[in-house]
Amino acid sequence: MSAVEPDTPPDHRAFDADANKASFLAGVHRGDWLIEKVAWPTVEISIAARPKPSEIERVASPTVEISVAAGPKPSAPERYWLRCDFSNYPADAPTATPWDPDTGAKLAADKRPKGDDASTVFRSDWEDGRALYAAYDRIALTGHANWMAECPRTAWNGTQDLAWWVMRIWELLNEDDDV
Amino acid sequence: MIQIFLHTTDGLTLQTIDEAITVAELAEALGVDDAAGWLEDADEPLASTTVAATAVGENGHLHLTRCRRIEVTINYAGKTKTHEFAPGSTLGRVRRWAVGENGFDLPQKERPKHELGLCGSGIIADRNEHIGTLATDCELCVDLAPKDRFQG
Repeated sequence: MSAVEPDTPPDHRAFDADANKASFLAGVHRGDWLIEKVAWPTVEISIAARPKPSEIERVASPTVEISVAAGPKPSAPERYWLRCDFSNYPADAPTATPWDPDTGAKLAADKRPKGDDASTVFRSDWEDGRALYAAYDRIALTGHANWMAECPRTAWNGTQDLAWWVMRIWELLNEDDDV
Repeated sequence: MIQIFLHTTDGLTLQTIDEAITVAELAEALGVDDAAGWLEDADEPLASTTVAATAVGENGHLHLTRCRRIEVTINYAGKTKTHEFAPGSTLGRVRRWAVGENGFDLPQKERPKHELGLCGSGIIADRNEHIGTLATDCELCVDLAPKDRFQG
């Protein structure tokens, strides 16, 4: 990450601090995720879905585009992209739109990851597919106040960090990977 | 000089080390001179004379701790199992053991639907974290529980 300028807003500074933590960088070196582009408060992140012969899946992370690696089913991409909005981070959760870097638009429904949990989180029939249907997504959490009580381990509460957030999506994309 | 990920009881840090420094010299430099060095998920420690950079490699992971084994207590559905792991074991390895035949032997389809959390905290533990970092006095307690499902 680049050096933080004095007039950098607090949410951007918090993001940069998290992006430089060893726990996040370890994932970058493992090839699990990568910050592709930052145009604050939008960040694109890619998350790896490692090619595997078995049936497996997972995904990635706010208006920052981040990619996350996933263990895909045959024909699934090796990385999924998220166009994320990190406004007011970390007090507010990031929100992420599954993204197609080739078209510069939301990822089409038929290209979204499939799987027990992945299909739910990456659903395209809710909010027009512009956010993740999960308790760690700002838009989803705002519309589901019950999740704070029902999903206490995954609901964003402002104490988690970037590595924790991206890991949730990576695990989703690679959920069968290590068992 | 090379860069490695160093796991200790204080957490995970990115360190730049001399390419010739041994595990024992690195431990001494960090103030834990009786600690042993472990590669990630290795069952046995490195010899103290091992050159750390050679064993670990650029951006590799090294665990330094005085604990030789970590006694992990795993709770699931009212039952408890205890097993010893090397301190450089990842929580992901513990999870595999916990859901497998030597652990609670969950049905294959159910295994990916469970995760480990730190006992009593409700905090999901990072599967790449070393149990030697999470342990207190060489002991660790985790709960195996179904993952959250988003509905409604």
